[in-house]
Amino acid sequence: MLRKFNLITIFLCLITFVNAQENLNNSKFKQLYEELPTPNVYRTASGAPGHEYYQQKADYEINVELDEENNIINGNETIIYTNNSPDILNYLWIQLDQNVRAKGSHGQLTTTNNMNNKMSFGSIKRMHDRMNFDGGFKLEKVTDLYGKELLYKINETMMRIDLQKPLKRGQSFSFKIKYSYNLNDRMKIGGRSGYEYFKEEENSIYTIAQFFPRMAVYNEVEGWQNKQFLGRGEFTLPFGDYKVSITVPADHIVAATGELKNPSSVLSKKQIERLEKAKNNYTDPVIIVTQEEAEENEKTKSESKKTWIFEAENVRDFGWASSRKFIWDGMAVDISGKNVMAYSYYPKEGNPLWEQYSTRVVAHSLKIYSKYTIDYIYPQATSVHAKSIGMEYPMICFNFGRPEKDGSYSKRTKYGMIGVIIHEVGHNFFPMIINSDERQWTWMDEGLNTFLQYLTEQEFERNYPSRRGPPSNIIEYMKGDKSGIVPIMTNSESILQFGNNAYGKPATALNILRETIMGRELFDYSFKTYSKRWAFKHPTPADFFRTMEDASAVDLDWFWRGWFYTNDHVDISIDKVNWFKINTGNPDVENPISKEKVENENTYIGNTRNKSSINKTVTEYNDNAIDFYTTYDPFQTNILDREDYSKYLKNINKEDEEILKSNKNYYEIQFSNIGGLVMPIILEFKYTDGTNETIRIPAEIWKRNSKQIKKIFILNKQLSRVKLDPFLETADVNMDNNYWPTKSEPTRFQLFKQKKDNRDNPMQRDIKAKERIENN
Amino acid sequence: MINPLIYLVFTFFLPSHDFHITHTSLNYNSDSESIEITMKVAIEDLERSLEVNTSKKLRIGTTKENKSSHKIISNYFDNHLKVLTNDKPLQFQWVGKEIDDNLHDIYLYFEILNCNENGEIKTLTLKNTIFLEIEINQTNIVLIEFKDSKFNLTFTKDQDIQKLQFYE
Repeated sequence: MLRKFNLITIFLCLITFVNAQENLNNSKFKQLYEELPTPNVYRTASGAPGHEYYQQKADYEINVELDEENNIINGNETIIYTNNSPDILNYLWIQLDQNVRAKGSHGQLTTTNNMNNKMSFGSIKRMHDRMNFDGGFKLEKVTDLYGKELLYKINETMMRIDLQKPLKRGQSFSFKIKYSYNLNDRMKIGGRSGYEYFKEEENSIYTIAQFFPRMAVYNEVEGWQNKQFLGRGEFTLPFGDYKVSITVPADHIVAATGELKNPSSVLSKKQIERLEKAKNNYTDPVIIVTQEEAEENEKTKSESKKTWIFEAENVRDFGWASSRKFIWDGMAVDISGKNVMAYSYYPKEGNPLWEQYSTRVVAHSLKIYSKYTIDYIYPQATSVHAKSIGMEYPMICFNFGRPEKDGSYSKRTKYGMIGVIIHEVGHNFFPMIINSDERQWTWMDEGLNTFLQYLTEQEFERNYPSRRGPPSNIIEYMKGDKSGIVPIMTNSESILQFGNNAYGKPATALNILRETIMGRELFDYSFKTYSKRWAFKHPTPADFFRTMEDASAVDLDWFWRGWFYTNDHVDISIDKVNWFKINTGNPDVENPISKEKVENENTYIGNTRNKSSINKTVTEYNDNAIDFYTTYDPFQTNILDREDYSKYLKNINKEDEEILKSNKNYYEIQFSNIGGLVMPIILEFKYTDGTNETIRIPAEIWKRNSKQIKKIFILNKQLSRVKLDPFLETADVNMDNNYWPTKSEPTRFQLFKQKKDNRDNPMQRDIKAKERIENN
Repeated sequence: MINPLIYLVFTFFLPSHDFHITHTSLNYNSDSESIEITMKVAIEDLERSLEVNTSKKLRIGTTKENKSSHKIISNYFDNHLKVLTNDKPLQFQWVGKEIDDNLHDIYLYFEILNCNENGEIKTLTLKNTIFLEIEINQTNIVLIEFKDSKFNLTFTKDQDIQKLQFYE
């Protein structure tokens, strides 16, 4: 409905606000001073490392042997720990992660669960297997370099070594641990590492990690990060240099973190030649150990052993894999002129998928992640086939994706595998290089990594079926029961709906920042700045939040507050749209409009009927009954009206006159924030002439009132439709209130029912189509 | 006796499928007087559960998809999602299924016809035990839109039945 108003009134009501009186500042735009730690000499207010920033160093020399017959790992390590902190250390904390699998561990005791009368036999069996398995570290000796026993105390997954002499700044302390532990059958007990047993041929694929007692992180944020490992919150580890000798049956092929230092003693001449060829091939993977060789290898078991020596510099951990089933391929990747290797290790069961995709995906991931963060500087990145898990270590990761026995595979298996390889290779950047505290904050590596995984997937193939990233994919989670949703800023162990909370929501939030709030250029620069600042260091959430603002000049406190510190969701509605035009005062313009308006008004039904049923009234058949008032037309303009108008025009100034003559449409639109999260308002205006326009208003429109606002739009044309969030970029959970005139979106159910044929299996249909052609 | 305390679920880091949640929405369509049910579940969970329950492999979305997969799925949900109005159990019908664009999940559609109870639906009871037999930490979220009201319910092993009362 059109309303007219006089010129003076419009500028008074640009934004009205209903400000609730509150005693505290609960503004959604309140800065994060109370949430973020006070900046200091170690971490600055800009989000960069401070001038006194330090980090500890832990170097390792490990000799480890795989006892294949008994599935036992025997190890002997020397740790050289350097104190770079200004503090004096009287003891060291070491992580014994495998103790989570010790009988009666806290990890087991604190896992809540219950029985029900409908449990499957399989899950009861799994429960038995887990309870009966003794997978904790067995420490034989903890000594100094000269074999003198050290005092230590084990508290669950943590071990304290008491130092005889306090360790001062710049000093190092070296010690040795001799140990062993039982490897877990991943298929029975689960786990990030362990082995998968192939019954038919009595062979296993070993994927080995957390296989040695590892130094805990000491810093100015946590002191010793000795929060127990309960199974979910992953790892926090200092950087260091590694030299690892791995002894396995002589017919095994070993993949590991770092570079192989003794190829000539473990590989055949042919394999070494192929490896050299792979190092110069940038387009396609070169097979180093062929499928035929691997299949031949599987048939027998060597009695002798070989030792593979790997070295890695400036890494935070070490992982490896070993099997006589391994096929191995590799190719070179050019990272800013530097040659990096991409490798894959997989059994015949992984083919044909793995030889076609794994190494290519590793190479692609390194390139894209390097573009958005820092150049990948490790010498290689490896993807190892491991059924049903995805798990990351520096330069090596274990990934799922296994075709059917006949070699066929579903679309889901293919894209699931490519997705997990991108994700796990991506973990080289977060947290292996940009080394956040996983035990405390899962989102800092999983969320950032899932965001980049999305960008990498989209560059692998157009419209790649990404699970996480686009805002519309997070809606189901965000609109769910709030008792099942906790803020992103929640400790790893207490997160509910892990995948949505720590992977999906932060990845979506970053995507929204990039596409909608900051724009790609400012976002990419800031994200890269964060990566550069914290590469090979230990960042905290505040360092990330601050850097993103510092490098972009976009105040993001409101965004972090809403998306990371609350469990609110986005639901903005268009409440109403009012249309105004200026009363020009010109009788020649206004009178016809008024006349038309009166004529278009609905009339009383009696009057309408009288028009035809009364043939003629008195004034119509008798002219003598007519006087001035009978014929007076109130919408007729006379000379006096025009003179009044000229006087009016003389009294107003030039600018006002221009506004008067502009003939603009004024639309006052009222919006409500139902979900709680403040977001930009993105509107698509459709005009009566069929054209469209997009209007983007920053989230700060909510700065004085975060519940309800009005905004006036001055338009040349008339509106026929308004749509809020037309490009699905804010994760608005309810689109039904996003339209003017009101319009309900059909539900997914209704859309599905409307489809004439429900083709849910394009592959089957394709085969049928081909059969039809053959038969004809 | 099995001590249920000592049980450890290790599948936390990104396994092929990292946590176990289903989403169901129940819309009462007052025009057709039917309840429209849309369910989003992970294909992997669905296949695993049906394999445990029926020893049949579904192979959804592949060329070798089990020909009676609709029936098998339908039977499972008949037993694991019960809908009652005014304490009377309702039968639902299979409408169809559709793999999500993300390839990870599948949408299942069911419908309950003629359920207006002469315009007097006073209570709606749901029993949701989807995948609870295979996953101890399974969470089933149900969003109900009934006339002008919305309800958001979470079902777990500890709470698998919930009842809604409607007041006129």
